[in-house]
Amino acid sequence: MTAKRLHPAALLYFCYQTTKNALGWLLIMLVFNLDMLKSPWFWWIALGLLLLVITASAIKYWRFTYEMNDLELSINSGLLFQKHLHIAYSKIQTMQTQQWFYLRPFGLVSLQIETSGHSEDKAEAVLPVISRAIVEQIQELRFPKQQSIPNETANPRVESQPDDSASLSSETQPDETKSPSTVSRPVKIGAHYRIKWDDLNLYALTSLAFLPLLLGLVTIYNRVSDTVPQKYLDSALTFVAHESLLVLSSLLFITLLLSLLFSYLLVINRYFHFELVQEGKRLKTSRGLMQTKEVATPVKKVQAVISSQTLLRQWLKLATVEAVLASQAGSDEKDEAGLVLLPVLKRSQVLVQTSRFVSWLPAKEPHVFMTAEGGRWRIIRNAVWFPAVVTLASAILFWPYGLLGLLVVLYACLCGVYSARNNGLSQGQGNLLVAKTARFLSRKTFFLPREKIQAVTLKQTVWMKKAGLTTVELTLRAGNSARYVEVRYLSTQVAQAVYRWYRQGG
Amino acid sequence: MENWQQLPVKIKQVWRLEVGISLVVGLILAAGMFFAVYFWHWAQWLNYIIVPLTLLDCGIESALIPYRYRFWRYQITASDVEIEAGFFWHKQVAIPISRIQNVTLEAGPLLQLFGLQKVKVETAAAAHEISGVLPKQAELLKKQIMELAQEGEDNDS
Repeated sequence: MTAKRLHPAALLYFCYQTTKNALGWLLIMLVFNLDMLKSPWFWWIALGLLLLVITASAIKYWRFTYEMNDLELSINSGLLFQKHLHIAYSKIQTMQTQQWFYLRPFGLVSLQIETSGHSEDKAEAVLPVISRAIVEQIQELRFPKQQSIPNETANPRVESQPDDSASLSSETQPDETKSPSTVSRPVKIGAHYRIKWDDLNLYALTSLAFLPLLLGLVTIYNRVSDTVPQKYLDSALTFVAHESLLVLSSLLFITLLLSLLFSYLLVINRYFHFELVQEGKRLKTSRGLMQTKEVATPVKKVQAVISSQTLLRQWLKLATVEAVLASQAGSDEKDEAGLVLLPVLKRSQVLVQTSRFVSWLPAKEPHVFMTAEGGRWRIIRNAVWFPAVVTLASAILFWPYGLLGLLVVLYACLCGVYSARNNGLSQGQGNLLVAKTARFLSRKTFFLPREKIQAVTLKQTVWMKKAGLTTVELTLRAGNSARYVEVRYLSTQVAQAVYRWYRQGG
Repeated sequence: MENWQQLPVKIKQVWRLEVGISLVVGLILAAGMFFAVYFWHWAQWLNYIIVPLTLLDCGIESALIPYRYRFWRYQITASDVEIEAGFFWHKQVAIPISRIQNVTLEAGPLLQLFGLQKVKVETAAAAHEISGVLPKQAELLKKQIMELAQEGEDNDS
């Protein structure tokens, strides 16, 4: 197959990108020399820059080609620094497409392809503007419809070198043979989930995204107070101070309400029309109002499944289900660890619903051994001692305002109690381990297949040894790095049993 | 099948040398600080901080060497690599050989001086280190791990 170019619209995209960079330079120049604006040369310089941008983008577009053959996708780019990227289809972990609403009529998307190599933090390959048909073509090559598994394993193995990328030889894993997709029909549209409006509403209302938003407002205020002359700030403050309590509180109320509304809309926008589909051996999610985002990943690349609850959602008996992947896809927001599979559902339904998509999940949650005797107060102690010391110091130094720190101590205490109560590990049955952890009043239940746990660590101090306590740390691959799941202060017997179970499985 | 191995005794000398080097670096920094205080009138108290800190750090480090050596051990069984460290803060890791993606042998100048090598075992998630072994043993270890890795099923990410 011959090399292809991106869609001509990519030219605009490149222009936009280069302009963004160029604008930065222009701004820097302006900062150093404000008079430049007045000089007759300014417009000439701007024009020159514009021409430069257009040529650069044109060259970029002209040099950017991609090729698809039976085995791999290759991408060529660059003029002075030429780059040829080759990705074997079998190594593709996730394919992510993004589409802004204005590109929808043209059927153009941006495609990001990730393998599990962890040299860089961004996607291995990005095709900025291509038509959806091409994406489907690549997906077809990644997951051939007509080929059954034996054929796929017979694919030439490029992966003989011991890198950390994916391999197909784990096809024989029991979870694969169990999955319905590997039988008769080549690609079967399996389970399907589409978020209902009520659920989305509930999810947005309980998202608590306004808390970071409020923090953001505080930082903005700090920034503003740094730049705005103190005189104006003072007069504004005195104005506020002279108003009645009613006006003040209503001002606060309005701010809170606005940030709530904003965060609500943000979540609605992000998870609009959320959909999860099982297609053969892959999972596909799509979501978004302004920008539609689709992520496709093979089921067997799922490193772990997490059901998480904030305190608010816990009271409402709701949970969110995420998948931990060995790539960055889906985790564009910092508060999300992985790819959201089911944004909101009843906690009791988590396993029932999720096991439709991920076959190795158990039908029933196994027994989980919670924090052992003597572990609870230790967890609380660990949470409280630091804020307590700081509060003590500040109380002495800034009497009596330092006493406000007691609030933090109280909060830390609450967090400690909560963590102690939501911390536990199952004994490891068959191929599955279940871990529960909690931080800052939100809790998570991890479902971990043994072959995806990269290492198990037991930790114990001398004092814990006397008390018969052990902390277990599980190492997972998440995104492009390690993720550690720490279950603290378990009884040593449970910890040892899990350690043995893990080692037996090889 | 317990087959625990300790690090070679020579590693203690390497660690001592490392402490010595950081002592020298710390003293050079202290000299620089003294110079800065003297000529550019930096705050006096800087002088009284860096030397004690360096001495304290090096003292603790060298005092801990026997402890570190005594409680650091590893074993390679048919199915996994195990590393154990510490007594007061005890830690024990199991890394199944089927999860190991690659094995790196490295030796910096200090290790080379004593004819030792560092073995780094990497999984898809993280790297684990055996900080110094004899080259013969390192080679053996690498061979063993690679052989087992080839037999074993691929259980990567």
